[in-house]
Amino acid sequence: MINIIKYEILKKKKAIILLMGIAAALEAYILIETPGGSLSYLGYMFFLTLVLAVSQIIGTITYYSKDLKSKEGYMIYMTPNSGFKITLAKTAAAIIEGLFLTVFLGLLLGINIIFKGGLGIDGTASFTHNLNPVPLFYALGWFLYIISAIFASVTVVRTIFNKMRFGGIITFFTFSSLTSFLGKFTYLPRSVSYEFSDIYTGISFYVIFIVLTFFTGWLIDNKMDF
Amino acid sequence: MTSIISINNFNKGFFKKKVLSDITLDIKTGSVYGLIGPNGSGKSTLMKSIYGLVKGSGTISSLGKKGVHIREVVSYMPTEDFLYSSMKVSEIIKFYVDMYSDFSFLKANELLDHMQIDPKEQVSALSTGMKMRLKIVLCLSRECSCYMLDEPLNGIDVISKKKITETIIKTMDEERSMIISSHMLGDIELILDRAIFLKNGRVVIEESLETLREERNSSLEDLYWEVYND
Repeated sequence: MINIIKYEILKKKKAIILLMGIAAALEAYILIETPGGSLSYLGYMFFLTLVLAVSQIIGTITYYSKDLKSKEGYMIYMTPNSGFKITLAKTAAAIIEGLFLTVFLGLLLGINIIFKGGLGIDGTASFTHNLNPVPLFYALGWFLYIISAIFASVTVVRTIFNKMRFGGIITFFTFSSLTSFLGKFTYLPRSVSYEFSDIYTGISFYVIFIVLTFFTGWLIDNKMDF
Repeated sequence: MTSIISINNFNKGFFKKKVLSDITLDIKTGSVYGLIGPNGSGKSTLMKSIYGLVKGSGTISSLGKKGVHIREVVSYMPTEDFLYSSMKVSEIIKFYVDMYSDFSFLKANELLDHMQIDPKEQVSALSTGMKMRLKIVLCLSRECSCYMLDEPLNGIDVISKKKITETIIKTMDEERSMIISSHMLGDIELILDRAIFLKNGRVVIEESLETLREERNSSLEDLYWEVYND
């Protein structure tokens, strides 16, 4: 599986370097041209994080979909690996890329703090607070849940509506229906304490991720024609 | 001769169109099988079904393995241009080394040399014939029991054809089997031991070439005319 992860990341190498290059160029501009310690930097970082996160998710979907549709996908899907293993590896690759971009953003922020005073506020306390593992566990679970729901939707559409037009729109509706249905299982009634409810939601993300990844793998191995 | 691939009552349809009907075959070691038929007869679909890329009803197994596990003992070369165009030949070889435990790096280098492919060349820069040669190298560099080559001699020059034919002959031994699909009978007749004729998704003839020649007193090409000229 490590080999699949490696090639998944290598495939997206150019796109990731391009994203990082743009972010680095913008950071260089901010360092040279703008006054330090400004709160607007916080807004900029928020915007940059959002752009990188959305780009990364779009990239993951595009590459996954392309692998199922185009003949280059044979390279991976012809190997003696089960659909589950390949899907899991693709998810792991997406997480590693996400972590890599997060570290890169942290690096940009660190550089700004050193040379320009960063956010203009003492971010150390806030940063330490955010290292609390519970929100991280929750965020990772949510990411896995969303990625697995996207992979499942693309695979369902590619399996059932293979020859149909407007595949993108059908995939979007499949994803919306799937997440709104599965969303019902991620929340407990309001009578339950907030603390327990949060933990339940976090765990439910992981459970749904495992179920959806198995389902996607099963479709690839047993129903999909390449 | 031991059985390598067993296919029992395999059927495949796309919507209402039946592409493969009641396919029952037994592929044995030590033979090169020719999968023969015109375009649309189901040759590629049958190969993809054996390799688990196309799903249908019925059973297909190879040395006790089914589904994706068949890929552990069977090597397959599809007609499609599937190689990552952004990679160099050497990177593609590395990919195969990483992905297939039975892939022989030494054999691949030998075959690359024989096929006159430069490992430093970018895949996107290769001509159709050279890409075909590379695909053959990748398929035949695996040390497995059965090889399936889909139209390996299609659309390539005479030298490429000769090199590919030589490589196929060099790879075969009594422990392995090979299935080659083609409608260019003149080119493959010399290397085939048995012929499987597919017509409208059905196996209409499955016989050794020797028997076909003795009993019918006709070449493969004559037989092709007899079966498909209606």
